[in-house]
Amino acid sequence: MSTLELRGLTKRFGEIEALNAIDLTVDQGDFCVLLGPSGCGKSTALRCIAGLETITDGDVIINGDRVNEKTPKERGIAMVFQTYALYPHMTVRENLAFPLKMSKMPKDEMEKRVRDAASLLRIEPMLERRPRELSGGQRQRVAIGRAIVREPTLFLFDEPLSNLDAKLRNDMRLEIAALHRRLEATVIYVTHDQVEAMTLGKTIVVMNDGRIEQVGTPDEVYQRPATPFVAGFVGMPAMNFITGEIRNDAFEGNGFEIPVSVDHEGETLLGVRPEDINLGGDHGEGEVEIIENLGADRYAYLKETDTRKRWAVRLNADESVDVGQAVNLSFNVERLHLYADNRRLDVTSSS
Amino acid sequence: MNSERKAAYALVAPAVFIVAVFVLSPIVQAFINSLYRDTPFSPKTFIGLDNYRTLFSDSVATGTIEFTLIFVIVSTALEILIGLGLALVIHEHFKGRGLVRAAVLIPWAIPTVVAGVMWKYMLNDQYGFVNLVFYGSNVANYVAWLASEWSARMAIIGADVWKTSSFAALLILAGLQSIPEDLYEAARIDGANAVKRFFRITLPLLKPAILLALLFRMMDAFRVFALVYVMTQGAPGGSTNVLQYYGYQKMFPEQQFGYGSAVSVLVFVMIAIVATILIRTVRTRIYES
Repeated sequence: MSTLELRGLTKRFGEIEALNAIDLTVDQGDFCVLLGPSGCGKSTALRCIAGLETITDGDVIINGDRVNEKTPKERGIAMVFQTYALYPHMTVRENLAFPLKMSKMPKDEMEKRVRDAASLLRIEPMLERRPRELSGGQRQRVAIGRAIVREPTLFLFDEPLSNLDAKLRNDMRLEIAALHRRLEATVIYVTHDQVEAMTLGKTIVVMNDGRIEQVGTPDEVYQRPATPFVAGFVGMPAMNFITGEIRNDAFEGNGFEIPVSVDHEGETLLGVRPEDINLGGDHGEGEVEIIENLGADRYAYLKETDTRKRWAVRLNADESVDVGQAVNLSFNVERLHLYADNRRLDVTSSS
Repeated sequence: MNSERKAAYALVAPAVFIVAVFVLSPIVQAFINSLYRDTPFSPKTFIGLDNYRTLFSDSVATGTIEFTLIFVIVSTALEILIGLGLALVIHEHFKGRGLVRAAVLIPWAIPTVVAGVMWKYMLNDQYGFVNLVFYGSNVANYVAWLASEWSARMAIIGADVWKTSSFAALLILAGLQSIPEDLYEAARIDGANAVKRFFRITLPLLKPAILLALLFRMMDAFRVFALVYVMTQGAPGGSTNVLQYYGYQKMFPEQQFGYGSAVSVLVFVMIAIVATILIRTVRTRIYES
């Protein structure tokens, strides 16, 4: 059964259209990540689901109920904010108990739930402290705890890790993944960080400009990006693009020709990931500008001398280049991405 | 003493000097004066605490102390309550908020003497606006508001509340603006309705701002002078007299410098006690958050 369904969800702020007829179905137990650049509408979508924003058009359906007019409380959701939004004048215990107090839960049950959440998140020793006495990671745990105690049908996370330092962010990411498995909860998670999206998400919803570009598993989104936007947004360093044309079952552009078998003729965008480019060959050339050594991987950034086009290339372990060196490039033609009219072309066979 | 310390003392010295000459020495001088009988008609004689005994036994003086305390408590309480209400209104987003904000601040911007004169006119027993509102053309029923004890007291308190609630509103508004919007959203998701959000989120987080407003308003209220001077001069029968005005009457028109000083010292001590208590509370609150 679907826990959440959005039907034609539209949100306008005056003239600005923040969400443009979004359709989305999220299944029970899913970890659904809304991924996109800032201003793409992902946070607005989350706030519409939460009931913090009124919606302009369309429906929000939670557990089969249309909840458009319902208050956040009546929707059975819990939300974790980027800034944690802990109540500064309350202790950790009072923060955790607050949503339960508001629903007039009996005291025994309330205490039990607070205890359980605190032990699950390992914040028991801090129950009598106030938020300002806690570290960022601990505050984050309390914020998650406050969401857990209500046992909601739907967890909403709004960029929960953005305010943590890199090391802590990694740790918390793993904890959130473990927590999701343990609670078997349904999660909607907003982020602009593709690493978070790829590692946490069962489903990734890539958004841009108030629209959904693609819905898919992390693998689908990475291996078969549905639009040029997704292709360019997901992946670090970003995919390389070449504009060209398809004529007579071959892609022509940048002074080379690759045979492709697609149902399309005319203007085409070709994308190739840095790891699908090898040194040597005749699909491109350039002078090495920068080499980035990330430890496990090394990337070379090239600039073509005449067209000034830039390339990002992942170097194989045995390949070595120097800054200033001129190199030739070839593509792994099995793994090219072709787009026309903002749409992915299915490559049936190649080369 | 190292050079940094020397420099620090040198920088602080001018301020210390000014405070000592213009603040500390008058306080000490007033206290010394208060121990003497000092009038133009008799030689200056040391009488110990006699002036203070008079101050606490003379019925005019105790009546003055009584109304001063009533004025401080009632006007401050009303100003904080109304200020809180005004702050909540002008904190909201609505069309014409700028205009409302300006309107709220106008009474505060009017000089106290002018405000006093204005209220005196409005409460006039023959052509006052207040009588017009209550009795219309029925002139026979017009009331001399400032001539009877309780209506005169209410008028003084009312004028002060009208004039300075906006100051409390300003301080509380600053407090409101420091509460992050996220907290209200989290509380909505946690199931708190508007009333609960106000009492469980807004009010506790406003405490420092409210205490600060309370401190400023109480200190000011103890020193009320202009409204009383303009509107009633303590009449009828001293029922609207306040310590500052009483002290002024003794000191200047009656030229009882010793007794007048004792009144000033009493006002000073009262303010010092209230301020010390409030500042301590405010400080711990501010350190906490």
